[in-house]
Amino acid sequence: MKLLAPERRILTKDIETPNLFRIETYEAQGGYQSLKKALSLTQDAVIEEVKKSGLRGRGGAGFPTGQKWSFVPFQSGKPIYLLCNADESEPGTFKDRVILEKNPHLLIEGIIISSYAVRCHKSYIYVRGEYAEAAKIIERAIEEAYQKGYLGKNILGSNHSLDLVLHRGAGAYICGEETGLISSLEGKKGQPKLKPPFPAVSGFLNCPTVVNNVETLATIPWIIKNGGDAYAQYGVGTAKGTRLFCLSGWVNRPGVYEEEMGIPLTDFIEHYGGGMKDGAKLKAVIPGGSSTPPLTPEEVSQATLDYDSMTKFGTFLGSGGIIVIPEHFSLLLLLERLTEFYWDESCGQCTPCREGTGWLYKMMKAIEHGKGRTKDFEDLQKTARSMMGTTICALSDAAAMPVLGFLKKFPDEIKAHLKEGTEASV
Amino acid sequence: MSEKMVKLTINDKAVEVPAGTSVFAAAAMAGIEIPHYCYHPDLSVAGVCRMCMVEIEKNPRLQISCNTPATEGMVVKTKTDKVKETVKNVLELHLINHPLDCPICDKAGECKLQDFYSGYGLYESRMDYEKVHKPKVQDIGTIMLDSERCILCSRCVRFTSEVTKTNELGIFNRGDRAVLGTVDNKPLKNDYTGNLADICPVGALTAKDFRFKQRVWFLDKTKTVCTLCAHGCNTVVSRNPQTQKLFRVEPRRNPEINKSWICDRGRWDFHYVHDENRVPEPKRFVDGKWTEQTWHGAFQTLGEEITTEPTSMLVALSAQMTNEEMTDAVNTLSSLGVKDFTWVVDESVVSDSKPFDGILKHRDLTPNARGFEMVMKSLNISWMGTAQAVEKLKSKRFTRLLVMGLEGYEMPGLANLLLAAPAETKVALHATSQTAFLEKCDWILPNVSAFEKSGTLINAQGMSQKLKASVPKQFLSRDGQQVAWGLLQKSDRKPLSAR
Repeated sequence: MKLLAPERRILTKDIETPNLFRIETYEAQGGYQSLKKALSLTQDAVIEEVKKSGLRGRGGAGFPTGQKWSFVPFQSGKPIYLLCNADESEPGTFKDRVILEKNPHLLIEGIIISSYAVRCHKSYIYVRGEYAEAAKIIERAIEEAYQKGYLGKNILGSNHSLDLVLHRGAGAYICGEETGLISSLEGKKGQPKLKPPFPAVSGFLNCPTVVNNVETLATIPWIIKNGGDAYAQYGVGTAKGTRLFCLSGWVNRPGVYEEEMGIPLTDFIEHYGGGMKDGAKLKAVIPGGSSTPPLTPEEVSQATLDYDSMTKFGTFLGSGGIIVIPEHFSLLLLLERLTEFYWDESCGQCTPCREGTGWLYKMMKAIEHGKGRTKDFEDLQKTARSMMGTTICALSDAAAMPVLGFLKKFPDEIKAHLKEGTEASV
Repeated sequence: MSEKMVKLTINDKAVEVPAGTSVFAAAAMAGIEIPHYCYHPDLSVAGVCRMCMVEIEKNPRLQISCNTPATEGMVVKTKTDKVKETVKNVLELHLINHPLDCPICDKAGECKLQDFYSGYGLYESRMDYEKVHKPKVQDIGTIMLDSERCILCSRCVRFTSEVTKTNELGIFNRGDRAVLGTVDNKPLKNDYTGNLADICPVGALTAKDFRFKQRVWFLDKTKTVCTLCAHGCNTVVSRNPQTQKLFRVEPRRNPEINKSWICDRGRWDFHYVHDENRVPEPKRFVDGKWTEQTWHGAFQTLGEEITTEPTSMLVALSAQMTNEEMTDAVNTLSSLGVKDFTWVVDESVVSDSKPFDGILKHRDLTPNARGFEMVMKSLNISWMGTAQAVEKLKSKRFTRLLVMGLEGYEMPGLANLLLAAPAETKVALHATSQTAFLEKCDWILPNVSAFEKSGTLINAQGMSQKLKASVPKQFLSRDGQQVAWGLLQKSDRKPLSAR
């Protein structure tokens, strides 16, 4: 498979255009033309186009976007909300930031089209607190869009009206989980909600709610302009289109790169990352953000960047955060940091996650500090397994998966640091 | 009738429940217990303890039964190996940071951590790292809070937000640093705080009134009803069978009356039962001082007086008496020729059929005003209202006043009646406790408390309920039936018709 030619890029073709964040620049590039086209179509036709495209949610779970939209009960009589999830918090993930900061109008246009499709008249962008710069840029872009009549009442003379509000989070990972985001936006403690009811039926303020990721929404204008079929030409199998992959770790050129799904992971790292820094040897790759289990060098050489290939190797494409780990980097340190992160971010609602994340961290901390015992290996596995599939949201699984993944694929490195002993210490 | 029903199978048992019922509730209806901490039938679903997992056919993942609606044809299994293993693992996580201080914990013996450990745990502890430490022995009003024992099930938080709507409690911070606490560290401020200790499935919230007083396994329980207002909350009363002392009053669930709650007054007022202010034996005011009398003497003297001049006597029955006491009192005294009856009650509030606070509390503090009306109607005997009784006492229509069945210190309506009686009126009081009006009395006869008698009461909603004695009679007290028959017979021979 060939690498994506720069002119075929869907999201980042014009990203380097100076002042793209200004509405005039965006319009000069053909911006807001898709909105005009969408408003000339029926709402169902827009949904149909998105369904045809095969677009799947880019936040991490990969749920088909068109299908998600069609779950909304349009005739419930309640207001419908479209929430843009810009709470990009998964370690190793920083792709939405590029759109937020460099091409905010692409996102806003995507939100307006999507709101039209799902009959929504009030939409929120929930941006993580740490993205202060992005928040400023989005705020200004929203203002510009209002001035130009793309937002507000009777957009471009149509019957569609939309108010768009930017809301800044206060810095909690869990608020990127869609129901945690809803709780936070409602002014409550950022904690995921029980399902059922699902947000599509009863979400924000108990009204039908669609939550979509920044990248997902930013893809909508292209699909409307070029058609769902054209989008489905990109990618392979169940992985249609392109994705923004975040390359980080021990590579020469870390960054955000748009690539067609299905290309070999090795090619991606070589071409975009310029290979391993200092010619170091590859030890492992985390393919989809810190919660996804790692790939061994052997697996990396076979893996392609699509859902099915990742499933084959027991991991996920997740949020597209590719973290490259070199031979010399300690997996113990890595796991200590990861378990600490999830321990810190657990909302504390469900017992398995609240208690399990702390225990995993204690064990990893002890092991990293040279106080690991043989029994800890099995204890880590058993505890992590207890945390899988037993909680309201996926944070518990997110904390457990890397532990299980590294222990399974790199048992020797962990075991080499464990000693027989009985005394526990942290 | 119009309710849509769904049929499902739980552990091979066919169950039919109204649509919308949770799998948990459906299992409970079928007598199948599912382990749980956060679920409570009278609170919203939180779904956070993750203990009530069940296997549902065609669903690869276990589901929490509390938040899964029962659907037609659903096949549920609650005891498969997969379920048992998962529950065991989740329970282990509940316990890793729990102090395991059962020997000094007041909840021991009725703690759900202990119960489910016996049923689902029974493993060797793997966790040997330093536990998470949280604040202990926190005084939050009527309740003590131990945050280390707390499993953050949020029942108490939901109680203060959904039932009392006072919102004193919250869970602060996140992850394993999450702690239960009161907002701004202010004490609890509602009339239902005792329920928090009941619904706490562990030893995190304990009632100051009960803690360290008694191990729960030493207590015998009696199912009865509360008599401290017209609502008639269903209760369970605990006493130590060795010492015959009362230790605790708890709510007994009745969805139609009190759900799972009682008010703090109903819970903690029982102490007067063993109070030194109780009237220990019959007494008569003779020659300027109170002298002890026997029941025989009291029945002889009073019975004789009533027989001689029955129409000069007004009999006031407290609406705290049971239907049986009232019936016997009215029957026996009528047969002696007494014609004038009234009741001791706050008439301005007896017609309220609903609690004034929207929860449980009634303005009418008597348990059986409805019963009094029904008894009098069934016996076809008329009675005078309290205003009329006061008027007639003031106008010296009566030379004698017998007040029966009084309980507690402050009975609404009693003061009006006694203060209306001119100084020369002979007053006999059948009461549990020494009131402020003793100087108005000539006789005082010890009454039993509601904890010492059985009978029937009719609450404000018109529901008749059983009152059941939970402790033996205290001191030399006698209930209304015994007094009625004693007066009729003018002797202390135990009448055949009363018990």
